[in-house]
Amino acid sequence: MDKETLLNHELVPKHEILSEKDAKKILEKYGITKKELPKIKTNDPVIKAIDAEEGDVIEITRDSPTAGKTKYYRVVIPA
Amino acid sequence: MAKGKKKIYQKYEEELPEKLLEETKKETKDLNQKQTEKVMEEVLKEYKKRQVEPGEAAGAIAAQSIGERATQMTLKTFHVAGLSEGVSVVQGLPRLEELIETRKTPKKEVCRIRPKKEIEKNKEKVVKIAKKIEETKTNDIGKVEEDLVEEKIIIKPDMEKIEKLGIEMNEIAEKIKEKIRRKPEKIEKDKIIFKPKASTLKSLRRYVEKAENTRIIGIEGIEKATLVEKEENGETRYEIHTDGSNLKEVLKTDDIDPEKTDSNSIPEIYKTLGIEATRKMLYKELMEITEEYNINKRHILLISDALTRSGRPTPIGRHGISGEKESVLARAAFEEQIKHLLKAAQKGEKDELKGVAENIIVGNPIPVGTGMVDLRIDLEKQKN
Repeated sequence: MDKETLLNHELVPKHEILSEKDAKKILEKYGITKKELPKIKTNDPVIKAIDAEEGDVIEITRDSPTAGKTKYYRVVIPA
Repeated sequence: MAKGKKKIYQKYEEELPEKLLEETKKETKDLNQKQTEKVMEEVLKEYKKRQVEPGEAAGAIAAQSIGERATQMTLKTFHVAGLSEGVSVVQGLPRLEELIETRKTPKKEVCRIRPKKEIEKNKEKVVKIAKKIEETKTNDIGKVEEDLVEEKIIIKPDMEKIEKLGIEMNEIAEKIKEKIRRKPEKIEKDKIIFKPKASTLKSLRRYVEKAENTRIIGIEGIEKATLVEKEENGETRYEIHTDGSNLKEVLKTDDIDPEKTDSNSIPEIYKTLGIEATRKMLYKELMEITEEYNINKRHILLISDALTRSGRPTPIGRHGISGEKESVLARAAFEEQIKHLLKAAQKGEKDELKGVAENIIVGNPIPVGTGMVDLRIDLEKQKN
């Protein structure tokens, strides 16, 4: 399966790598450290497809059945 | 839209969820700027009022809401439905258990294949795809015989069957050659002869078995592919549901829409599409089995988030969420007390007493609801 199919698959929401600055803003907003974020592994197919690295914060834009669109954050951890 | 009003909406974009904002936009269409401002203020106020309060034990409530219905479900266990769909699916409580424990090997795995848009209404073409996907072994299309005197294996395919499937003799010979690593001696019109150098009858038998189980066409693990009719806007379209699942290979098939093709197997989704897709599928599947019990979506959402928080599907229970808690006392309170306590003692673990169970054990107020509030001294103000 190619990258495009994976990233456009119905079940896969949009994943974006946050810049250092944006990541810091998010952590400040929720008053937490990176360690406390939900995780995503480096061997996750989507992480491989978007070339994210360990320690990156990923912004996930989900379709929410209650709120329309929601943002979720995960930090990349080694597999 | 008036510029002023647009600005008002923009101000609330950060704080209100998209769906709610869109709804209020629709409702305030005919109001002027001042009225809109007022309405938005009220909406925000009401929205905040309805948010879950800090310290609410949301997880415990979700567990209760599902647990209560699960009791009802027990009465309906092993109810088989959907015979008309051709593919039987594990339902009810057994399926719920499977999902929540994120088992590595679910009982009935099903791939739901969506053909390409151009052909999804064409039954013949969809049948063709289904035939191509279904795993067909030599056994299914004919017989394998052994000639003990001449030490030969003779493959006799059923001519009618292979014509229907559109397979040629050469293809069969090629596939078997790959499997048993011997060149065919002769390919005739209706049979293929192999002469492996088998020293004993036993090893000849082994070659026969290998030849019988060679996959001629199809995808490994797909035992059956069934056509399913779906009604949509008054038109029928066809989907293929399979017994057994192999999502990775299925997605490579021609003439299908891979972006809309999925599987109900959580481990497979995790492997091929990642953790976020896993979460979505868990939510979908949990919603489906709890549909008739009317559980609030938010509980299910919370559970799907909890199951995927660690980056891999984590079961609830001894080997998952409960068994990986940070606090020793909380782990010991759940199951296998001695193991946890001994290990913690060996390692010199420290318990921060942040959770619920450990605080009950030591006799402290639990950090839930009003118990979460703490007093702190503002040192800056003390100076003056």
